[in-house]
Amino acid sequence: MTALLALLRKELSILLRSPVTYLTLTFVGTVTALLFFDYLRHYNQLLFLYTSNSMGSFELGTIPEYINLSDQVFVPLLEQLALTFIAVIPLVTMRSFAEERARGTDELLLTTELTPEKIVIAKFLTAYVFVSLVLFTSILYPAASMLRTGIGLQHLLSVYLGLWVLGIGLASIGLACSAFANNQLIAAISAYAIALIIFDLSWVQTFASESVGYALIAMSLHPHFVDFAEGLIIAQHLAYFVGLAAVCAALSRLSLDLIRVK
Amino acid sequence: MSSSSASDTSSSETVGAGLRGARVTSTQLTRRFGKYLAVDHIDLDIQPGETLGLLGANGAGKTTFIRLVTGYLLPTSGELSIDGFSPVSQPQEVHRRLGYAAETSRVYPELPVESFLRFIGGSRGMRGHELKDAVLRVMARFELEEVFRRPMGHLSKGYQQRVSLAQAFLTDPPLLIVDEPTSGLDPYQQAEVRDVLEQAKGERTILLCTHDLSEARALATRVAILRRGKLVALGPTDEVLGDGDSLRLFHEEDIEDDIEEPSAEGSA
Amino acid sequence: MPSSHTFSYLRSALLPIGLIAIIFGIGARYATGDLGVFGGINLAIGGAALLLSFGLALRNFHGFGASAARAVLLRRVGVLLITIFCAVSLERGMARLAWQWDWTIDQRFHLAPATLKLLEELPDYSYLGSVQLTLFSHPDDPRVRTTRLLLETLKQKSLEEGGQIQVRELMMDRAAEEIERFEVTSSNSVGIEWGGYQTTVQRPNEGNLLEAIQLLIPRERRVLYIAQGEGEGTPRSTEPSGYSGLWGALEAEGYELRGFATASFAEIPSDARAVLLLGPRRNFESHSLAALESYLAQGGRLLALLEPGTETGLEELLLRVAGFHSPSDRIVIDPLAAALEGQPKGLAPLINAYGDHPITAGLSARTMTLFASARPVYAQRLPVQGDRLFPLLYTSPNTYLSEDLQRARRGGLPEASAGEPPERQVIGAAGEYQRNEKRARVVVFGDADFASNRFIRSLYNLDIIVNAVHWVAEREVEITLRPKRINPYQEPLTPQDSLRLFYTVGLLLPELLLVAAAITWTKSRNA
Repeated sequence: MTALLALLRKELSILLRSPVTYLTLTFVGTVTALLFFDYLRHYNQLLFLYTSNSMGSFELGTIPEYINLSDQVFVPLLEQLALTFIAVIPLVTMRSFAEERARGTDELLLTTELTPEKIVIAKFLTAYVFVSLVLFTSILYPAASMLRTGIGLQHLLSVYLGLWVLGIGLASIGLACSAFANNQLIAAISAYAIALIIFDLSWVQTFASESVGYALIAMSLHPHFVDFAEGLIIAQHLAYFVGLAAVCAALSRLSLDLIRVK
Repeated sequence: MSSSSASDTSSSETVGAGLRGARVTSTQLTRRFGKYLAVDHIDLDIQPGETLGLLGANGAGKTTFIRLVTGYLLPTSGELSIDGFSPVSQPQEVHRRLGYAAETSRVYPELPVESFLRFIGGSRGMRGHELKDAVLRVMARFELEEVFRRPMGHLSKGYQQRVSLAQAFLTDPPLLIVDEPTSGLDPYQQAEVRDVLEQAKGERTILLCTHDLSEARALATRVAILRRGKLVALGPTDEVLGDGDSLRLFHEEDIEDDIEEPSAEGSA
Repeated sequence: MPSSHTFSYLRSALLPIGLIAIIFGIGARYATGDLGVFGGINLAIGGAALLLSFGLALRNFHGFGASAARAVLLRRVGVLLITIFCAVSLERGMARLAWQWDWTIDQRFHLAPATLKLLEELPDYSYLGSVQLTLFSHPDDPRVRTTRLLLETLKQKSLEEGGQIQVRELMMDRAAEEIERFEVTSSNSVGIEWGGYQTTVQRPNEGNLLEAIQLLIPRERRVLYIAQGEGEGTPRSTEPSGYSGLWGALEAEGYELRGFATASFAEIPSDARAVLLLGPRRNFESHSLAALESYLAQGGRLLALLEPGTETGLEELLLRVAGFHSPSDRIVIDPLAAALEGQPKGLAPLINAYGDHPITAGLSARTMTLFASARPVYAQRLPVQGDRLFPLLYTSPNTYLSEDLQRARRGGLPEASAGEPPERQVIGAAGEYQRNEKRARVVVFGDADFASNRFIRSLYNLDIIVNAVHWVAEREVEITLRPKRINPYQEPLTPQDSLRLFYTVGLLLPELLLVAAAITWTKSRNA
């Protein structure tokens, strides 16, 4: 446990000492703020339009149901942030294993009392901490807005839980790619490719049989996180991301032994 | 010139009585990379407390041999044990006995020296006062006090090498493996590093991997010479290196008449 | 023959080329919604490059050498396969268990007791086959997601009861025949097919889906007579003051409703399961009152909604025959009650305390009912020994009674009647009477508006009125709590608030993060 904590401390220390971390957080925070503000402005405009038409009286039931915070703000924000995550997370995870290998520090790690399992756990936990930091910077703006209106905070948490598990999934894929890739560039673009391929496989349905299509959808990221935007936490979706993280961790562990036999 | 038999079964308890250090034994140790034979059926027995110089030209298989000892690579065939523990099946036991300073400095440029040493100590199971004392001890021993807050990426190559050695000494390990410790250093720095290794001699088993013959002469009690993965000479330093043109030992065309091949079977 | 160096270079180059082509191929598909020529070519090139790269890698593969290495790798691959197996099993297991947590503010994915009850009953009609629910959707319709989840929740819950609900989804642009068959006009519609009948629900929610399925249940219809002609609310009117909502809900619950003019009947029709009086405002003819009295004396069933300030002659009958005293000259005032549109604050009591009775089963302090204005209903005396009277609805302890109805009509807040301290008032009560070896039942509410179209979908009003009808009609088994209508978040954020937040969190936070990045960079440079 001491060895694991030491490695975790080292990983976090390197993460927090890097200006790239803060630049990434700034980027995500700004993108979220701009997107959220834009969606909210559009939503307010729609509300204004409908309330103006009903002779100035704001009466529930006179506004179409689809003009609500969930459909007009939360869901599109979630979709856009998901794409932002796909763009940002591999840029951070690509360094994880590949940089150790490039610097030769993997040899140092693997000759201490750190087991390969501990190395994998520390790398994954650090990436998850980064995902949490990204989420934290991007949740502040919507959360503050929701507190002002006094509604839907729990629903907002559900939206962000969805984003968090998606971030966990993407980070896990990025780490597995980093563990197998010879350099950071290959790690990043393979993470992009895999994330984009499995983001939403429903379009393959048109070419595949029903059962294959069903299996492909079950493997996709999108159907497993979009329900969080509706305020519904489904254990199956949580299980999917836990499973994805576990498989990626097992793959990363395998890569550490592949180095030994190469 | 004598050679040591790889089948020497003397135990560390008898041979190394009174000496600290781990015993390293390899039997018919072989490692291939595809078709390329990097380590070719090496039989070697390094006694506790001994400083063995592992010599050879670039690409002779020295680093591969070291990586097999540390467990970083798995052997294609053959046996290897460190104090009776196999790096293949019991890597944790081996790592507990091991301090390793690699050929080029394996450091994290972002981390300050002290943080790096604390991390290595922690990853070797040290904590609290034990860790603090060990870090202070190696910083004093390798004269790192002046730079302990600086990120390692800002250190000179000499200081980086010192940090690399310092981390290997953190746990006072019974087996110290140093790979080209003075490579790239200026003469003054080389002398400093040699002083440190000289002081460490006898306290532990040292496997010194180098292609610098003067370094081997100064530090090693025995030397083993590798060429194209094969152990071509093994014996006391003075006997193997002699006073002549020792460099010829590294080259194939001169070797056959001058030194005796190890007697291990299958080494051809 | 190319050299091995050339092969190695090719392998290194083909991998990123293949990956980049795939990224752009898939990216084009996401951006345009269609694979297209650009996407297709990129995917083909990417796939071919990756295959070639893999082939070249295999060419250089010389096996994993020694048994020790093979054993280590086999163990690791074994762990990987077990992990994959466990991951898939976990996901499938959770899918089967269908555990879910509803974090919406209106608990929209919690199925109401009425829906669960229906799912329990469906196996009784298994001879009709499964209930087939078809969701007609368009990919760009955001409303479909909620409906899809609702249908999935229904399906999962029905699995626990034998799986009588089948769900499928059809794209609007690929199901012309089905769209025509179900007469679907827009996305987010659900076609329901069961036992040879079909119906379509536009803008589905749990409530209207439930009602639509209930209407398809083949069952004997009990007849309810709704009195007309004495100023009552219009039963089939869709105006806010009408009762079409109550009419539709009762039909869905298995009743046949018939209006009848009380003045023209000498006696209540014999097939009446119950009689409903929805806020009469004029005096009943004496023969009408006699017909009602005679009906109750023979074990009749009556539900009366009485409006404050209206004297109809019914009051005397109810006191004498049923034991209820509901003074028409008193109105209930709760100073803490919220103001309804067009009314002063205090006239519309929110009820959150209920008597212990089947009609109020499941209702509690959290499940409130809203009354527009109400008169008290006292359980005054037992007409016959053995009769039973039950208070149903209690106002808050701050409530007082007022006789100043004129002031209330003018929009003012009436003052308390002299000598009457604030206390809980009863505004609804039920009674059960043994008459001529038959059981008569009467329920009286001191308000009629709460069941009108304007208020029937508010809070738990629908439940209290429909459950009262069920109890009166001796169909207690049908008493339940129904799905609530979802009011989506439609609250605006003011421009001032939005701007303030944008300056603070939207701009200040990124600025602080940038400062942190600059400090980190400077620190590392100057160390």
